[in-house]
Amino acid sequence: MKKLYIPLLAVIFFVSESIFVSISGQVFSTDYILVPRFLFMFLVFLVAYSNIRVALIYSVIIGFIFDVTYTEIWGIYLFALPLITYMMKKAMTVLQNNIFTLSLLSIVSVIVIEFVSYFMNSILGFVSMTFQEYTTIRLLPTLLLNTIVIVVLAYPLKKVMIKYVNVDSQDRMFGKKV
Amino acid sequence: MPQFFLNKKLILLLISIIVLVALIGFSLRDKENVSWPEQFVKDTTGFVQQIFHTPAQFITNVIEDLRDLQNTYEENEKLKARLDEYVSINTEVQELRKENQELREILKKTDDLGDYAAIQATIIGRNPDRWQETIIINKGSLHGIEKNMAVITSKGLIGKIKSSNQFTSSVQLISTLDPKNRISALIQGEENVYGLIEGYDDETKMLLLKKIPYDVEIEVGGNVITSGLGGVFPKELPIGTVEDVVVDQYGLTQTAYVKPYADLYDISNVIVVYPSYDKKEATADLKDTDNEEAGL
Repeated sequence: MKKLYIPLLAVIFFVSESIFVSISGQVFSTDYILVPRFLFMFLVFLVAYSNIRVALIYSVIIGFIFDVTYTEIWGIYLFALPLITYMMKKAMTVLQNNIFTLSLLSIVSVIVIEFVSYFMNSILGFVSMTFQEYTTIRLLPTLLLNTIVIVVLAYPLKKVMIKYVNVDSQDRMFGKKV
Repeated sequence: MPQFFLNKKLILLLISIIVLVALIGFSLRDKENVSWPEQFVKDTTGFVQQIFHTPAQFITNVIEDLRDLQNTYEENEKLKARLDEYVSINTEVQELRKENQELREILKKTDDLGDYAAIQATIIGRNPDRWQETIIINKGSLHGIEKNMAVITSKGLIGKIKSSNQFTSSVQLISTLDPKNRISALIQGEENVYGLIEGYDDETKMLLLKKIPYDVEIEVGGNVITSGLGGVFPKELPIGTVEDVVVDQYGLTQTAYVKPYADLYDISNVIVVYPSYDKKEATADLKDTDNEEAGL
């Protein structure tokens, strides 16, 4: 039973993004484009509290399902998610390991995915915004939204990860089981 | 040079970039049907989404109801004022409808581009990566939904079916920037003005109605509806109102900015519509009578 908690958490994070977008328009209206990138918090914390192999498998599966269900262009997220997960792992080996740096890394990964998706979509011709418009209408509000959510969720997420991720303790990067 | 090929990570990166480009090219091609593994993945995620979306929608509805209660009194006053107007319009519509039917019977014209059949659906998800605005609805090909059907809300047109699976389908909203996405539309007036809805302006949040001849005058505030000439969408679905008209850069055509009636962000229930007349029957009829008479 305990083994199911982390996949369930992945499903909740996956669905919460879509629910946020469809519901937020009904509750309030805004001129800015707010993009929920909650999955990246999950991935960054997963890298930190489990090992890189598990996190890469998760990111490939999530990226594939994301592409098939939402964008219908296969490849962007299938490619970007494992790449960002790998980059975050590299960054964690250099940086000091605590919950603050993890939150910061989540936000950095949001910036990276935003730029990657802007770049790919403008190549494919789905973007009409200039870079200036993009930063003011989309990038900054998105960062603000994700920062607020990470501040709220960081501590509970850490607790859940420490409790339910079961890997060999030498594989784990930090946050040893107590 | 040999060192370069020994670098395993670099080789892996290069190979994955090649695979990425191939995959994108593969998925961008124009496909008639969605393959069954893809349908299976989409239906499964759709099922999970519905489980989570239903309670979330319920809570949102409660919040919206509470907010509506705040200005019930003012709204009631306004609606009462409109009620008298409504009665007179209603009688007029009934009269016109009757007359229309009689005239049709005289002409023996039974099929109409404006006739459509409808399927009700509820939204269960929306693309979080908001470059392409796509929503997912809880009806699929088992319920009779096919690619390219028009999707409306009670206020007006919002998009078309991008792909249909067994139990769910994706809807491409009209605000998506897709060069393949064109809708034949007309501006109502003393003389109807025809054009094509192509593209969306993110800053002003308006649709672009292009390819209007340069010499026609367009009234700002005119109603824009679908023309039904594309053969895919039914006629007379409301789209929006004209807000601004500009001449394009070569001066050969005009472009109208159209403000959509439907709120493209506040969507919870949608209606999928399709022309109800049988196209094959209509053309078969033509062959038998008209062509023979013309000696063809």
